[in-house]
Amino acid sequence: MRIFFLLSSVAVFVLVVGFAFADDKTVLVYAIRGYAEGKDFECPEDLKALEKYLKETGLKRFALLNKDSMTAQKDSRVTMALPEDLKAEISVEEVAKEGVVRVRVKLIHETGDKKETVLDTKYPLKDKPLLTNKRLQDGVLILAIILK
Amino acid sequence: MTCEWAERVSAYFDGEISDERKNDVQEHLKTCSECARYIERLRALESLRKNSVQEEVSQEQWDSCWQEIKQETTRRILKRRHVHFIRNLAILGAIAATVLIALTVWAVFKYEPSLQCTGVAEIGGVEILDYGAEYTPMVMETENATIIMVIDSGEEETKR
Repeated sequence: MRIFFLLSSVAVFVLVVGFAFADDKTVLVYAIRGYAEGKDFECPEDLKALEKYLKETGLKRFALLNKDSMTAQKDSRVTMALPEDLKAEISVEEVAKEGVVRVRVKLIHETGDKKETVLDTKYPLKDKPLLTNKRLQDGVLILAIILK
Repeated sequence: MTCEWAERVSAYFDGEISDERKNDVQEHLKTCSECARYIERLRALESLRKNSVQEEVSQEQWDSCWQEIKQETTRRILKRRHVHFIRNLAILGAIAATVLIALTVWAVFKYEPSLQCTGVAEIGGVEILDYGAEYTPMVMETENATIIMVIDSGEEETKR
């Protein structure tokens, strides 16, 4: 009986510690339209959290198109419809214990039945977000993927 | 007893026969050793019965005895239940421990994947798997972010 209670206690302890360390993070996905025109850098309120990253793009003005999030767990997925028949598919490939989340980003151009891969890439998300830029007929599409 | 006088001897002993027959039985007892032993046994039994002591059991003694029986029975039932409870608890505990250990192992393995690079490590760890024929991806790493510029071929030509 003593051994049984000892084993149970150890199991509970390991489980609690395991879940404590297994605190899931969130992958945030922003679709933003950016414009190069403008005098100074302007960041709208709903994109203030991304200001320091958006500055890196060299663009001046921004507008949020869409926003979504997913848990940083293997096989989590976000699909986002974008302007000009574009579609983004972001999925979590794997999660490492060092806090690195490897995401796969697919940017697809869909017209009717025709599907064309614009970009298919993997990125180890940790401290630095990934910004994918693509020129649109009106402005520039910025797909920002951030780990929170 | 094989002697046919057995019943008459028994009746003689109980005093259930007439005086005339008593004499016949007494005469028979002198000649039949089997009946003589039989009547001796009957007398011995009667003597034992008369000498035996019968004590009256008081109501208090009965109550006390019943109380002890009840207590002993209750104690045994409780002991059996206790043993069953401990056994069930041990089984449940073992199942719970197994489930907990399995969950722990699962949790540990789930959160310990190896981060393997399956392709060529490029700038900022970006791994380009595929891109459209009309596009050219360019990777830049800045202080705060990693940027992929997807450039249209037409766009490039315009730049040239």
